[in-house]
Amino acid sequence: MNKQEIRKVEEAFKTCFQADSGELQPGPEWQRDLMINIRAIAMPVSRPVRSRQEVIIWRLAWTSLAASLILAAVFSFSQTGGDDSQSIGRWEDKIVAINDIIRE
Amino acid sequence: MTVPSEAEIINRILSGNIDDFELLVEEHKVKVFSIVRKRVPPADAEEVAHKVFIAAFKALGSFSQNKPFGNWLSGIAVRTCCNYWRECGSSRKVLAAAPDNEQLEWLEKVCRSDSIEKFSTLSRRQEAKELIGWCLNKLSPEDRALLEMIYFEDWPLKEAAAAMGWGMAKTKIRAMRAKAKMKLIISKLPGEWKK
Repeated sequence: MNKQEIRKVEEAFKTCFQADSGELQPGPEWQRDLMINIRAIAMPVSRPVRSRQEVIIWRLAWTSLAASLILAAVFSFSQTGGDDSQSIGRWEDKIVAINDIIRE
Repeated sequence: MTVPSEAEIINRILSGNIDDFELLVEEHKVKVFSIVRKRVPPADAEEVAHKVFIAAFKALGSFSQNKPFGNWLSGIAVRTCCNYWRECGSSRKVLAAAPDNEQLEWLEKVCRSDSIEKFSTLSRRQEAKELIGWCLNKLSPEDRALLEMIYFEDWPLKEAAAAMGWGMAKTKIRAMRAKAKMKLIISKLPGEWKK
């Protein structure tokens, strides 16, 4: 093939490429399917927000549980502490009474 | 009621109104389809067009609103078609049949044609489409994309470079090399039938 022939074929290819428009309008199903795919892709974007909220809720739940356990422990210790001081007081009274008896 | 601008639509999509993406699809689907249909076999055009819009949706956050959305989307369409041919190459999918006698006759007629009308009629024939597909399959996906953009569709070099994500100098050199390869393929065409 000579240069002129090559140029003619190139031009024919160019005309053919530009002319090949075919049916350019995609159907409504194509668009509907596309939007379904887009929403499916977008879901993971919204998921982290929900999971972040879940993490915050769980953290709050654990913190409140831990706080209530600590409070319960403190309360129970303070109660037993009070009982101890009362019983010690009672023992002191008894010891004093016994000492008095011995002295007599 | 005022029609929202593309920038407003994009901002709304980015702030979570995903359904507004349909407005962009509605606006640009014909352009994207015209790019895709010329570059990939008709049977795969719808799937590739889907991929174009999905890629655009995923990359919407990186879209700089200084340039037109249509140009940006065209670039994505060209790259998606390029990826299509790359995948075809890796899966060794045969998409164009080997040239036959009808195409050889067409080639001879084109070379002998002296009137513009005759040439124009010849250029629209099925043989031309088959032969162009066969020749383009001989090129790398990037060379193919450059030839289609710069020599077949007369895209400005700047736009072609932006579509490929390359610099101007690289695009120019690659396009020239791609054209030289195409010329070589065309020059060897009659010999292909003798094989």
